[in-house]
Amino acid sequence: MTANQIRLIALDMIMSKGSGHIGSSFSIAEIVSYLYEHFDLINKDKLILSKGHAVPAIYAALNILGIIPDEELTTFREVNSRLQGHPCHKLIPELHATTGSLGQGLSIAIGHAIASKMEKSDRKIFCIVGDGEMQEGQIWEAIQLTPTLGLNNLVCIIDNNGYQNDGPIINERIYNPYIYDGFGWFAREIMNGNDSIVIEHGFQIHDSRPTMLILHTRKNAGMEFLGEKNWHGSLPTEEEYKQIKEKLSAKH
Amino acid sequence: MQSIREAFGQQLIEEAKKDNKIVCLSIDLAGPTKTQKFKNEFPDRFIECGISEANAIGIASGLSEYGFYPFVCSFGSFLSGRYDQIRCSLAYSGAKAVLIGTHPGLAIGRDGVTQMGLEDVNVLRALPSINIYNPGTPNETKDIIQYLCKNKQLAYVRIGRQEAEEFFTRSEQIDFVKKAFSGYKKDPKYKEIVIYTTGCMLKNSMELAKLLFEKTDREVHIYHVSRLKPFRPCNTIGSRSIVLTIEDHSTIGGLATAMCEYLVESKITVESFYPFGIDRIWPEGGKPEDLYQKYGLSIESMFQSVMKLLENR
Repeated sequence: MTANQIRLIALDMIMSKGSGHIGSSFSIAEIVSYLYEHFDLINKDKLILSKGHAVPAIYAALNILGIIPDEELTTFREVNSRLQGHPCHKLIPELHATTGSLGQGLSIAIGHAIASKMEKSDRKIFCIVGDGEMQEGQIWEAIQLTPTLGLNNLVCIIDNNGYQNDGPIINERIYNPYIYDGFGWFAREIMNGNDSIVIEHGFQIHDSRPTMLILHTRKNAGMEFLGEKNWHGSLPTEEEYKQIKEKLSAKH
Repeated sequence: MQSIREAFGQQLIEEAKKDNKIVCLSIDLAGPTKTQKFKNEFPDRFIECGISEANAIGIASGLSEYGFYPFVCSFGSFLSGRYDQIRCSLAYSGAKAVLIGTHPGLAIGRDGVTQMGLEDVNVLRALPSINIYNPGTPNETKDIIQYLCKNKQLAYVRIGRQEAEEFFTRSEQIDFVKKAFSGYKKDPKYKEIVIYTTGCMLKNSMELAKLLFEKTDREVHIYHVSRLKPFRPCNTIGSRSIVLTIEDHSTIGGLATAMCEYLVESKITVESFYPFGIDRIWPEGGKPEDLYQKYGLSIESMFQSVMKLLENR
């Protein structure tokens, strides 16, 4: 699967309801497609989307894999639907955690990682956290504990897209890999998280320490021609929508 | 006399011997929550999370995905204080885990209000998917822990720190509302006093019941409730009785509220209803006996309140 495939599906889903988070879903399209391509996220490894509002990207990936049928995509954010606005594990088992209230996913990921150690499984646990989400205190509870428990099977990915709901990120200092290194993680920055080749070269899982991947991304990845804007919860106009689709389909 | 928390710690080990999916999450309070022995016995199943309640709750959620049955142990005030994590990561997620909230009520005494679980039942009661327990004796505690391990669910259990007199025998067939005492009188002139109590207030409530039976002309019946949610009283509250609820918890959102809901829904008109508890006031720290006296939960202060109630009737 490709990142633009994910973007097209996510975009249509969100525009059909006039509700959803485009920028947040677009910025993680490359890393999501990378993870689904290189790991077995259906039968073995786990992906916890702590920034749950970006779930359209995951619904898109699961659609491409045939887990969510095409017809079901139109039920996104509708009543009686499995495709809730934020991931609901009870409804779709391939969504490995129920998230949406920011700050809680990394703790859940620790639970998965501990369980995997206890079961002597070599599965990997991935957790995608938003950069704004790093402002939540619980994330730091989890960051402190993970290396202490020796959870080298846990990979946390910070999606540094530079924006949060009300504007540019107010806590850029969290981009500093030395912070996580100081807590005992293996920290690595990937400077262009929206370039699949860069991710391919830069992605690394440390063998003995938990891994913190600081991914520098853009919310307007895939629609750069529209300029820099906080695409958190806002939607393109009908005209912009058409243009974005054209661009994404062309690059496809 | 054994304390509720000791009984809990003991039974947890018994259950863990039978079920290797039982794990214990500690939040730097293994001593006070009496899970130290579990740690010694099952070091691989004891996970020290450090002082991070929200994190521990999330970890329990993740563990439950793999069939582990986590017991998350801390003071009731601190655990229930992480309402959003309990709500989203446990209840809404459909996770099964047991939240052990120790030191409910005034009983911690000298440490003071920030350490007391006074509104914990109220906080959690509205959450679908969670059941709330409040055992009053060591045997009842062991029965409930055993029951929760046989019937895995998301549960919050108040576990008292104090020693508790035993009133019940162990039983596999669990009754969440038990009659603790009934005093009948020949040709009573007035309707009976019905007392519903819960958790560690059982002893004081029993003494109150006997005193009222002795000193008034009324029949007295007292029931102990060890499961506050769902709550179903015994179907013996006749109309025109005097109903008292007694809990070491706010009068809002606990047993008193559950009883009022029941009375109204069942269209039972009682003569008087009086809730004993921490009544819309901040208590304080001090010697426990002094606190119970000052905040109206000692035998003597409750007796005085009831006598005044009967006079003013």
